[in-house]
Amino acid sequence: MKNTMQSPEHGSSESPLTLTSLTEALRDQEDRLLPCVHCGFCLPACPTYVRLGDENDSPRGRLHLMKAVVEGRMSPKSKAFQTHIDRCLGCRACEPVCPSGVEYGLLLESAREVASKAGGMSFLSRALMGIMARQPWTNWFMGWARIFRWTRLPKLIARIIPKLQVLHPFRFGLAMLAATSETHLKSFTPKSSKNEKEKNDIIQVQPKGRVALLEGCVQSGLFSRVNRATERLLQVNGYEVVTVTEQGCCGALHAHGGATDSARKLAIANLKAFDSDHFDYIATNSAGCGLALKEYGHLLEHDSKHSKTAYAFSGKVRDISELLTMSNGPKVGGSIPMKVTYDAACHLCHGQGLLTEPKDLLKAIPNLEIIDLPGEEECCGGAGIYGITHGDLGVSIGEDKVNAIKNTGVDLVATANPGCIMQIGAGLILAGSTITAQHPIELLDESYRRAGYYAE
Amino acid sequence: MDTSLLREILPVKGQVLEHFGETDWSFFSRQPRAVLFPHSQEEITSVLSLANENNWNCMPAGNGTWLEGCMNTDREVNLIVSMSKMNNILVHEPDNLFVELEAGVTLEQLQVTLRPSKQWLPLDPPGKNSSTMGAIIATSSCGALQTGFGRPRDHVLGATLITGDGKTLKLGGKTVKNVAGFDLLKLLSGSWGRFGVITKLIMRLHPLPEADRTLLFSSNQAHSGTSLAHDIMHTPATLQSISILSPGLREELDSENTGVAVRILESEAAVDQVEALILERTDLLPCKRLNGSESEAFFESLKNTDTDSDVVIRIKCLPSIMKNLIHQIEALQSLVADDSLGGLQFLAHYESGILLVLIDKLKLDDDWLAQSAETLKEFRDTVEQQGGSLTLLFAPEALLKEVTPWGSLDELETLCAGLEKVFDPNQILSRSSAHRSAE
Amino acid sequence: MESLPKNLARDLKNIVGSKWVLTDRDRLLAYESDGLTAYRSIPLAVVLPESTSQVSNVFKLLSQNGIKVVPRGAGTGLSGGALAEPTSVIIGTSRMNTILELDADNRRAVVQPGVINARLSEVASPFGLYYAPDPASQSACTIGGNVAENSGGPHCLKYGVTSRYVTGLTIVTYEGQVLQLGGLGRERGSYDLVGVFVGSEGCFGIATEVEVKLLPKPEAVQTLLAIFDRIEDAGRAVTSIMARGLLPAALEIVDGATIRAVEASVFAGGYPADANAALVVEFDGIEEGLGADVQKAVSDCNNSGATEVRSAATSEERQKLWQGRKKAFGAMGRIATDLLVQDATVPRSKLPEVLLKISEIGDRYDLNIANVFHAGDGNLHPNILFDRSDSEELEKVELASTEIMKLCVAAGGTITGEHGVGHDKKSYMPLVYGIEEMKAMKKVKTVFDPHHGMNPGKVLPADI
Repeated sequence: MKNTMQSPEHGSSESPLTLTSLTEALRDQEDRLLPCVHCGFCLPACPTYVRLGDENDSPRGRLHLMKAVVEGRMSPKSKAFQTHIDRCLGCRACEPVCPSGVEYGLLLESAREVASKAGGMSFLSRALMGIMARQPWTNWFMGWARIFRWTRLPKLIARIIPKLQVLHPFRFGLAMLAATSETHLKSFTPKSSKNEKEKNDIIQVQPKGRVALLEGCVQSGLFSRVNRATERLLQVNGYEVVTVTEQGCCGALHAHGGATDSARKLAIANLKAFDSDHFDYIATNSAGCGLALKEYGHLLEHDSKHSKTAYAFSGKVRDISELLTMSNGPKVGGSIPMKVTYDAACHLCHGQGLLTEPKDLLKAIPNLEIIDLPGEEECCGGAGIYGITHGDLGVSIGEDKVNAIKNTGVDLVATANPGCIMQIGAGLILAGSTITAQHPIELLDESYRRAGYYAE
Repeated sequence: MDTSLLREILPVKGQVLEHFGETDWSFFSRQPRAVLFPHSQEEITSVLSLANENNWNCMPAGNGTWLEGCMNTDREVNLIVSMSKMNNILVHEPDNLFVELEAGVTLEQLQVTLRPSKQWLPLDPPGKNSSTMGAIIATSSCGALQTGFGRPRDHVLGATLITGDGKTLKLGGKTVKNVAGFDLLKLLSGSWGRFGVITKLIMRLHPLPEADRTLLFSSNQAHSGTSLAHDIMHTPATLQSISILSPGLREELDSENTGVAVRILESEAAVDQVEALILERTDLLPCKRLNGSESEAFFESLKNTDTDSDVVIRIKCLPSIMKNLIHQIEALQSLVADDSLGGLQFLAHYESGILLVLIDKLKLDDDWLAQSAETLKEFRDTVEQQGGSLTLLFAPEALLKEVTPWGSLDELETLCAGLEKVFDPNQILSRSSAHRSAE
Repeated sequence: MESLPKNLARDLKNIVGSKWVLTDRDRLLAYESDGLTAYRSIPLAVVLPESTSQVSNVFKLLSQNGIKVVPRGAGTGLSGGALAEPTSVIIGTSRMNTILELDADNRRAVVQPGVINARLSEVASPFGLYYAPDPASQSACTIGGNVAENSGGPHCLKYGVTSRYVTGLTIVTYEGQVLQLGGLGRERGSYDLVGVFVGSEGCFGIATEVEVKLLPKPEAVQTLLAIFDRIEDAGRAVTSIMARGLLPAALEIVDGATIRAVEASVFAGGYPADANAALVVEFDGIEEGLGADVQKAVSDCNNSGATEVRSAATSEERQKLWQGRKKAFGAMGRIATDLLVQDATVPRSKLPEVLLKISEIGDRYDLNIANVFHAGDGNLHPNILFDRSDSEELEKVELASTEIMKLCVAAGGTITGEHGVGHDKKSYMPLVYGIEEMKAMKKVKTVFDPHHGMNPGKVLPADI
């Protein structure tokens, strides 16, 4: 069977030349594909494989598809390549369990690039990426979204739309928007507390460092309150926060979606905006954006002009939880007597290896009861707009997460990524649950407010 | 039948035994024509070839301990091939924890040989230790120790089998891990010689434990036998056996209450700790504590409890339903002779789900057979309804025929018959077995 | 290329649902090999059923059409056991992953074959129980695959292999017949059908429900790590530990090349990178007993020339030590493009001698061989590192493998301890078995599978 059983090369209709140019992005990564020894340890870690059981929906299977494309045994236009590369959540849960250290996330981005060049991408993805790539469009889009959210209609409509397959994207999209609303924590107040004040810098004699904050598109559009809270927390914990005005989208959505060229353009724009020589750290409070920034070096590794700057930039990127937990941080806040659980955003725990740090932020809040979430490291199915584009599967993954959260009996679930807040929040809304999803930063911020750190 | 042909193959005096009357070698109401004592594998091959040519029915045996086992009901036998003269221990490699021996070696002989190296074979088949290793494996005989160490099949690393059609098969090897080819070795345990004659065995050995301790508990109102056994089983320690004894079964325990015996085989350092864990769990003090040779002797005598019984029934069930079944044994009281005191006893190995019911003296009035058979069949139904099984291990031939040793094999019949044909195409080893050879 | 007749594909889809029948050539590509990538062949189709009755109906349909079947679990096997010829259909158990019963009271569980080995222990853990056989791939491999291969693992030294823990099976034969074999709570007057089915590598039928025995978790565990300059010294330490009558839960050796690969991976176990052998000794049982055993083992290691002996103080450290050992195979991907994980056993005392000869073989063929092995039960895993694109090297790998197999058999061992024969080792079978043994094996297979439709071309050489 050895060798002789090797099937004849797949008859592909494309001319070799077109194929070559299409698959270039993956062929560049061939050295990253080789370490996979096909051991299969990644299978049980993969949310899509666990639910579908199809080897093609496992990391090993997808790597096999990538290899087949690189070897010219399969066309990147093939349905198999297109479907299964698209179906990956990009959660990277396979990376920590891989004994060979295969850099799956990076490979996936190249595969997505090849797939989108060969087969295009969905209208929705294209539209979304188009908007995010242009700051004025983003502002316009987010502005309307905020107005719509303010009407409280999204939640109402989402809950009354019938559970029909065709209506799912609409229904889920509305619920996601509704999930970005602020949670008011008044009912969890032990005694009357002071009103929140406008930001009131507490200048330390020797700041721990100069920090520039990535505003992010979804963050600034729908979660600006989290960005402001982030600034306050940094200041209370002794950092100097500097505003960077020219910054734009981090390009994560584009890189993950296969629009690598756009991602590179956005990255270069940010390199210029954040002249990293002026900062000690570049902070993010969004797991996905943070990972993308940390990978600018890799994204631009073949760009002789920018690669050095990019690596230097990436070296300064920190998640907010990293900064706040450094050197005995964060400061302890005021009491919030409620029950919460923490769900680890994939791009924090798998992508950046940060699992305990975000939880340590919650631990700085007195009287906050933290209940462990079974399967906290499993993807919630958010993955950008996966919940909308992959109805069935996204819903099934999301429902598992929602059920796990409901079973803990908490009042609130904390998670440190806007996509996850929206995915989990939407799931909870549609399940009729009163539990809300929030960024841990918001809780700590409220706790600091109660502690009087922001007082006159 | 012309035995002179056999004498040509087996020339040494005493190798072919004929006209032995009602001695040890007759079984049930049948008398084989001759008992053969081969000295080598070649002789066995020749005997089996001759038997195939002449269509003689053969049965492999050891020292003849279990000839009247239930698997032999209805077995047609012209010749018994006894392995008792092939009893050499061939290789013992203490470093590699294995021993290679001829199948006629007795368990006793083996243990004595192993003792100086501080090793043993943790098997305790019922009866005296004069049974041969070949017979123990072929009949899959084991006792209380199966809880901690497994059944005979778990101790066999390799074997040589001379099949019914005279072929020599070397199965398995010397190592614990061996997955080369299909595991035909497993088929030998419990085959009752229907596939061929086991001539050699390679057995896995264990280091002899430093400490041997038995705790004897007596049940009371608050602690029934099964609940004690249940609690002990769920002690977080590996225990080598947990047995439940009916009142009066052993004199070491009082005659009024059900007893529970737990055997701990451990290092000196750990044995007290295991005992403490058990006592913590049971919340009851043992009525006796036996150490070392006393402990060994207790279990030695326990495995001989069924030797004098008229009927031995083996029930296999999940431990959780044993409590129920022990209550229901009462239904078998009608099989016992009226003048027999304590004629109905039981011995259970709780964790292994084995419940042995012993009837010392069978009632033998006019219609005993019909009545006993009916009671047993009903009881088998009761057991099977609860997911268990009932095997009639030893009983008078008439009763065995009436009740059949075990329940229906249903769809597995074809598989079992097929396997017999693989090793014994002319069926000289399995002819007339009541349930299988039917075609 | 072969393709599945349209009407048959439709009928299969009717049984299991259209999503679970793969017939598109590009989607079948991922099924062209299992954990052993040296052999590749694209199956005719892949069917992913979810229940015994679906399997039975699928088998009926396929056998009626004379199409052969290859069962596949997680595809982590290392002998090419799940390799399917272009005319065979793969039946994957990935969707049959439910734990049907966890009966803590009777210390048993009934699971579907696609349940992952480690998950069973995880679920049993709150009850103080675990599933003892622990193949190195336990985080990914399935119980069904373990049944097929009769898998071992480091802790088999004390606890025995899979067959000791499988007490009952529901199997489906190629003809689609559903049979119940064994069962912990009953015995039938049949032969040990469970025993012979375990390790039959998918050639007899497919197990669709597996009843297993669970063990109480040991009260305490202590792990030692001894470092040696020479691998033979580690081998001698093993022999003296065993000769004392100690029965460790596991005795594992990794050699220098492996140490360096593992230490470079995310699973670094904290082994010194310049060591030439590391011996992991683990004892489990009752706390009081362990201390004395550990002391004895430490002195055995020291007397055999250990340069350093460490003990894992916390369960976290212990896990890490084991991670490094268990993930060794995957970590090899870092030091070579291709890897052949060999598997053979020898009687334990022969280890030092055999290891020396293996390294001679490596030198002679100019091949890098890294050794990881279960020293306690003499189970060797020489990992041969190579580059597939170099055809000359490929040939050398083949020759070196054959020599290693012959060496182990000559030392009183066998050609596979736990990976199975599969496709890879068929040609070595005559090294350990005569023609009669192999014929008997074939006949036994025929009893279960009269039409030879199950996992064709595996285990036995073609001319048997």
